[in-house]
Amino acid sequence: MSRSTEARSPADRGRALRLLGAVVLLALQAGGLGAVLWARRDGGQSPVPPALGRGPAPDQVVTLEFFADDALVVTTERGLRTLRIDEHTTVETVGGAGRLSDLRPGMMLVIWWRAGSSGRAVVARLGLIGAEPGRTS
Amino acid sequence: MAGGERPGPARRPAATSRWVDAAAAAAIFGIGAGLYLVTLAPGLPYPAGDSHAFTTSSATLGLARRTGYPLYTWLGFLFTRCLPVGDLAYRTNLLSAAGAAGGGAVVFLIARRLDLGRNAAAFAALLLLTSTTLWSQAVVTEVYGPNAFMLALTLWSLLAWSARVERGHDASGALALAGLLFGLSLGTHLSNLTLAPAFVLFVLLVDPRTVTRPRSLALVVGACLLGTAQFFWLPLCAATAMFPNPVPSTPAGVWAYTLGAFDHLRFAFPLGALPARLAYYGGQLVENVTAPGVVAGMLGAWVLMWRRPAACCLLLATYVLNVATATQVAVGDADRFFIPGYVVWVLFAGCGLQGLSDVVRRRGPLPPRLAAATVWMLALAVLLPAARASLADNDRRGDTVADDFHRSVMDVLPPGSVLVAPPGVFGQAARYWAQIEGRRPDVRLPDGVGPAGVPPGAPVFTTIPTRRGRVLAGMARGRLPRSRWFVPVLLGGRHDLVLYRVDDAPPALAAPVPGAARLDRRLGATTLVAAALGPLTGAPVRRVGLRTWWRLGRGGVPVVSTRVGDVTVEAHVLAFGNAGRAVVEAGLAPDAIIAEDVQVVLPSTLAPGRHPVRVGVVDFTATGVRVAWAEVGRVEID
Repeated sequence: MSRSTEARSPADRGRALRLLGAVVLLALQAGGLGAVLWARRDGGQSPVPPALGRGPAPDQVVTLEFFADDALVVTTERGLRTLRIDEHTTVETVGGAGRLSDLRPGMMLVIWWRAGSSGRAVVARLGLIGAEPGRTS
Repeated sequence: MAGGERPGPARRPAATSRWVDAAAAAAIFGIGAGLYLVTLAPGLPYPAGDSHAFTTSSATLGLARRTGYPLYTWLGFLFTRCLPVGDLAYRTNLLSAAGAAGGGAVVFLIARRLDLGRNAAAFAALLLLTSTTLWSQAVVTEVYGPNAFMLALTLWSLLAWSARVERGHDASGALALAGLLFGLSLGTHLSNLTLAPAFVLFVLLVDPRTVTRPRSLALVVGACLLGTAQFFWLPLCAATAMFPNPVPSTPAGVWAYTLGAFDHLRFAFPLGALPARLAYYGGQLVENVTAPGVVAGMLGAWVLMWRRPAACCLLLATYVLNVATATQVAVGDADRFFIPGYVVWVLFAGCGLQGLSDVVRRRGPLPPRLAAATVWMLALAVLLPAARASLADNDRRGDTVADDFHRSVMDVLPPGSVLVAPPGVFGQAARYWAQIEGRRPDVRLPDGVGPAGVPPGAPVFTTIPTRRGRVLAGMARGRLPRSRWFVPVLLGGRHDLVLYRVDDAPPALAAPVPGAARLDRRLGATTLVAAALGPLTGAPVRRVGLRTWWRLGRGGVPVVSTRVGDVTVEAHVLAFGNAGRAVVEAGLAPDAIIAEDVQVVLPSTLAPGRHPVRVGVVDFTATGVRVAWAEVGRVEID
């Protein structure tokens, strides 16, 4: 051990650690915020649903259970949720554009949404993961 | 002072106040347990995820799914054997609640070790307890609650060790305890292994001579290995591996079952996806600790770095490692992998609140007491909305659909039946009710690839979903020939809760229409020709027979639905694909009236009273969906 290291007091070590830690902390917080802003610059949407390719996560992957008037009732990891649909709702499949009438109970859906003017979420795009009901894994 | 720690305003409490801290931690545990208990799932939850499999492996002391989870399984076994409340699934749900609440209590103690006052420490703990992802895992059987507890315990033991080092005491035993707890924590989630560099870094920062002292080094490594030795249990119970999982009966098998498992799902995203993955994580963080909680955490990291740099490095490295690995995992339940990071973040948030409180009290324009009250009102303003939102999102009290269906399955199966359930974790509910709860020990549940285990002549049923009249091959795995007919018998409350009878002959879809049941009601493009309700049967879960006859319109085979009172209890494609198949393979006339004869499970949560039963047809318009309903009778629920 060198003489200078031996002479280093805990207070010196603390100062050095604090300085190094502050640099790391600054880099992490700035980097994290920067990455989030970078990802949000185009609305945060991925061109490819993750279950179809390996892109970023969509808003949610759910399973269609029931239909109601202008609504879909889906299963999430935390139980049933109701999704309102309107004239802005679009359906996409692996092969291209789809229709609401393509939907069947048991289909897994990748959902992208935006807040509606009333603050209520509306489904903007529905992506069907294949057409086969049941689990994929 | 090790690591140049700087005393904060709320310096380490005196020994006399430790009892107060212990009582406060117990109170935190009580609050968490209370919140989770009132929202706890009463049995097997839906969707199953891994819950049903963890319940069955815990109840039988069998091999859990990959990556083994030995400690979790043992704890689950203790809960199923020692708690005289509810059924076995309820008891393993309780383990989740206890684990998550325990995690909150230990977070309080960690915060006290970080020199936070009791209020700030309680804020950190309550912020964790009310975070929505942890709450969601605390009310069903899952590993994440107990894992949060084990991880928090490991962090607490490391800080306890550093406190002994600061005081100049022999700290080898304390470090060995930390090593043991860390090794044990791998049995609640193996991903904790990725946090090891953070713990090593902390040891080096606090007392770098630890690695040059053979006794200390041997003790901590030995204790860690002792904790990890739990994985030697896997080969001992390899015979209970769930079909179609690999069997960890050899060293290579154990590797594949543990560290080698799911390797294709790790670091699965390209570097270019990193910003979007971080944005996804950022959204999860805000959802869990709220936006003010995020700000408090960012501020708190600076406060802690100033006051306790070594401890801050421990938490920061733990957090970074968790986020770096969890954002790169390509699994459907990736959100739960972030829970260890939330354990750390709430501590930062507590530090932020403590820092704010200190500044306002000392330098603000308000009198100290009023300033402190203002800060704690702010804290409550963060906590209460978060708790309310989490409660609304995670209330699983009424989650009975999986149990209702499988109890009914056990009721309707004829003696000596064979039930082919989905493989692996997806088919454990049938095993649970038939064998573990002992409702139908006579029912055979064949495992393994191929038709072995299906005795000739036995009535065969399946709960594997079908498509276009054929069972899904990926789930049947050769146990059921797809050429057979899959006739729906019992409809549960979800798309994959359907019991099919497996027949050689096609179902009688063109059955004659009884005049007494005639309705001739047009529902969208389809006509409900007739309908008849059978009597209510089953107890405690009720079910009702429902026979319907349909004439198809130009829209083809419709999606039909059943509603009891105001509750939609099922929806399916009419005849489950058998109509189209029968036209091609069994000579069914395309314009024939199609008959369906099923039993519908009524939710046990249905309120007592007389409820109308309606049958509906989904009608798609150009821009929306309508469901046209027709009442077919009434049921009396007592």
